[in-house]
Amino acid sequence: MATRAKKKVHFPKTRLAELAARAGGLTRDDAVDGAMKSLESMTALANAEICKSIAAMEKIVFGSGATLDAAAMLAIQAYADQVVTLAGTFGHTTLDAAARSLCDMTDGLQRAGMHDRQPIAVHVQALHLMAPGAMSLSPEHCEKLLGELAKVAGHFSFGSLAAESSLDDVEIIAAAAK
Amino acid sequence: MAQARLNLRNVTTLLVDRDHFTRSLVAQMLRGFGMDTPTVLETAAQAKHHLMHHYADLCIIEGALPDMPSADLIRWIRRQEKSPFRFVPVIVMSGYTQLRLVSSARDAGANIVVRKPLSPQGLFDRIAWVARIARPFIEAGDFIGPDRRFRNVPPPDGKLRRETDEQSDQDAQDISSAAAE
Repeated sequence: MATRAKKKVHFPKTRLAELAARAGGLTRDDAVDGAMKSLESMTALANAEICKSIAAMEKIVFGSGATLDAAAMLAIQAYADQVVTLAGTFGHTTLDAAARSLCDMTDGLQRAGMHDRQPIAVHVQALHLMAPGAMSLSPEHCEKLLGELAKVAGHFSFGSLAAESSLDDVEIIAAAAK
Repeated sequence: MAQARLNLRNVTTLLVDRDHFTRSLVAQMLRGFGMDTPTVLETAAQAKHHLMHHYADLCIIEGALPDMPSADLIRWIRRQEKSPFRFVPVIVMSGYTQLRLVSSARDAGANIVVRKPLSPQGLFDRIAWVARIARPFIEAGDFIGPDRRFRNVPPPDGKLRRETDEQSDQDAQDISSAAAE
């Protein structure tokens, strides 16, 4: 008869817990304020990084023919992911939404074994228009652009990465109760 | 009620992410929290080498490292039976396109997963969570890591969390009540 692997339970005391419990330190508000101030000093650099990523995507998309190979798709996805991270952190809401849509599109195309350049190109052009330092678009224009991207996404009917994948830990607790 | 304080001074952090700018971004946040400058590395191989020769109180790791998935690195950490870093708290940062890796990182023994884009509030709350909420470590079959059955309680002062977690808090109480019944 097979025996079940023995379960061991440890109760480790981590040094992080010991250090964090010392007297002194910061309140949450002070810590978050401190981090926000540190981040403010990086805003210009982050904007430049976003523009660099968009330029790199443009180079790939507009330097190719009617299709994009797998390596090009992966490269675009990596740049788009970077834009999501930076746009989200630095409060570029519409750029964040457009970059997420591009991530969903590249992911969907790759999973479907498709190599179409055009839907990617439309997204990259939208990112260019929404980039920090680009001509300032009115909220209505931004909405319209996002609406057009949604139509492109709707045509392909790919799911969203956010919807398909695992939730983060806080969301798991909330979801489990529903 | 006054907020509780968290003293993160002298906490040694290992931060592993393929992207130079993201490493700078997270390092800036950590400094803002009063933490010392973290050791920043790019690959899992560098992280392994570092851990073998230096200690870390906290590891913050990107979901998909250039040389291996973070799950493999975490699994390696958790299987170092004789090493002091075996139980080190591990926070995994998942990029938008890496979200499918979240469950594998959790299965490998990550303490908590945080989605990018990161906010100072979100990162601080998760560090506070792993620092203040003791979770037993389970070693059973293939799994070695913190107990995945969350104790659904907020950090002790109830303040070290996002405002949007209030609903989660209520939900968590509901789960606890249901479990008790």
